[in-house]
Amino acid sequence: MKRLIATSALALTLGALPLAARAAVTVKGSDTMVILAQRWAEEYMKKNAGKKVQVTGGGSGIGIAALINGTTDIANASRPMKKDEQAKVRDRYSVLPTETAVAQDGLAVYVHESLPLQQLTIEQLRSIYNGDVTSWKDVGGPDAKIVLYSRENSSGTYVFFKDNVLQGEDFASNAQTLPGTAAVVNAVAKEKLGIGYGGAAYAKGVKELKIVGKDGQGYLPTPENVASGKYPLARPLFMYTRGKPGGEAAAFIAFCLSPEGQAIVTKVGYFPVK
Amino acid sequence: MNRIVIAVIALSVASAAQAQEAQQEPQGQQEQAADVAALEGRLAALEEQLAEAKGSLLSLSRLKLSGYVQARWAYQQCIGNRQPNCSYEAYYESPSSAPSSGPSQTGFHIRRARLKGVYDADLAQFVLQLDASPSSVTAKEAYASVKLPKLGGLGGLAIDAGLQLLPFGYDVGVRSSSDLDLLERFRGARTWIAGEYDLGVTLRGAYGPFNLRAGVFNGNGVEGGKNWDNDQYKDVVGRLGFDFGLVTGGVSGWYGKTTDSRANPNVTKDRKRLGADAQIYLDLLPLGGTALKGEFIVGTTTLASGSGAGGDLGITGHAWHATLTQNLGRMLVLAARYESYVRDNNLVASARTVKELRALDVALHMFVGGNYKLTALYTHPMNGELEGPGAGDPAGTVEETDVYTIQAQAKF
Repeated sequence: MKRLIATSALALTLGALPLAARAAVTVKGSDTMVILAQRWAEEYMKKNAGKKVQVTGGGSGIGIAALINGTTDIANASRPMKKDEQAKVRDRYSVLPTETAVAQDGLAVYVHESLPLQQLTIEQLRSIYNGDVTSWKDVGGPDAKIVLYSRENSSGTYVFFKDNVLQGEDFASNAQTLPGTAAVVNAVAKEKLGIGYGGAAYAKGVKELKIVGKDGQGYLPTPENVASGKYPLARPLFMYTRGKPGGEAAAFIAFCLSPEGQAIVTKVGYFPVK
Repeated sequence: MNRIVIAVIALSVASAAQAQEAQQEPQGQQEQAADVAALEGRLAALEEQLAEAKGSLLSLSRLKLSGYVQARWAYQQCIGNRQPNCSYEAYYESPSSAPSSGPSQTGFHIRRARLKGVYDADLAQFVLQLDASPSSVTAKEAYASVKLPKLGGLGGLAIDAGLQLLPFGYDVGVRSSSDLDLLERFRGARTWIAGEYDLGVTLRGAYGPFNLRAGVFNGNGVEGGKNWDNDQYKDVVGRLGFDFGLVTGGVSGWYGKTTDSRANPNVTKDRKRLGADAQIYLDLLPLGGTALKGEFIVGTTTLASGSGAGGDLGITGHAWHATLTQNLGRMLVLAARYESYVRDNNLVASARTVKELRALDVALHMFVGGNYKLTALYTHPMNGELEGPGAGDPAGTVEETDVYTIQAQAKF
């Protein structure tokens, strides 16, 4: 019994040391949200001297994995957590993850500025990305081969696109995988026949296509269209914590949801959640 | 005249130079065209190589490897009058017999070392799990799986055939050996679902918050090298589980028969179990989450190795446990389990016969990142010696056989 007490005391002391050393809030995950999260972190640290917030990307899947294995306080995700991911958090920490929607995003579809095409339906977009349609001619564009750009499968943007556009089908094998939305935009900006997708906030130097909504009209991912639900590829952006947010993580999330935090959302190019 | 000659010569030279230049221009363009063609050819070759590489990568990405190693140091207090004959392993692996062999234990050993490969094709899955010990490598799981299409609201449908986990209970049917709260399963699971794996075919699927896994098995497990059914009877085993977020659980059933063909005449007995388990998760304390877990099994005929037909033929017993886990911050988890085990419901307790074995286990886990866990475990059998005092002991003697364990686990 004495040995057990001594061993437990040693384990508790060792366990407490890293907790004491770590005062920063770590935020990991979605590349779609990384710029937004960095702006939030900068403003938050300006207003709260001595507080530290560390933000990294890597994709929604990476952030959620970090939440499960305990290496991040907050996971940014541009897709909802899956049931088996929630179960892993529960099995490890005996709590369910808490989801907080912190912004809205319109998933934009980008093409080169010179491509003579203005809109696509969801069905056409699906046909392009599952490989059924390989020429721009088949969707009202020029007679030329479509060059596909996509994201890595750890990306929440990738998962959202696969679930909501491809409806679970696989991407075409010739879709080029790129790390991060900025890389997709960069590639499409240079490739006249390219098409890619990503957060609306990143669409610089490329043309955004209108996506046809349920009423048969084409809509761009503008704040009005996203807020009204007319834009068919709108999605919430989330922050996940293990259980109810507490301590510094709760304070940071509260800042993100504050009027000042939501004003930053608009500046970065996303849409406020409220 | 000389001027005319010079002019003619000059004109001739100029014409020749122009002709040469005109010849060189198409040659230059030809060279450029050849360069472009060569570059296009290389580009096409690179594209082909890239397509091949992507194809290979796609195959590799379908293969998922995982595994863990559990290295332990353990010390078991010795039964007083039986020193030096104490055995740590006997406590865990032969729960119905007293520690009887080997010296008193203060030793390092590998409890489990597992490597699992899953190849996930579009419609099929191949699973192989190996268990390594210093003396041997055995297959824990080896099954082929075919995925079935969704049927209305029924999803995740698949048929698994081969060596696989018995679909019974929470400790065995749900919980991985790398995630056990108290490092070992409770005695009831170690008795009536000993070995945890068997040869058979199962169907699994989910409907909303409910999930089912049920199948037909040889029924006597594969411990001790049993690769064949000992008789013609097959056992039906299954668990119906539910997941309502903060409350999960399930009910399990097992029915079959077993024949001891060494007995004369042959003896055929029922082999059956009924189980229920529940887990409740509470986010009450600021320290971290709390979980309450419990499981109950009533079983007839064990899977203990021996004649091949099983052990305790026709004998019905029951066992249960109640476990509390408390997360302490991000890295620490405290767990405590109280369990009760009755081997034979019809046994009459006496001064020399212990009917109900009770034990208390307390563990502290420390997680380092997502891959490493250090555990300190204290196991206190509350009855002392397993089957009552030994011959020569005064009646009612209770002797200590506490076990202290430190385990380091690395998992990927």
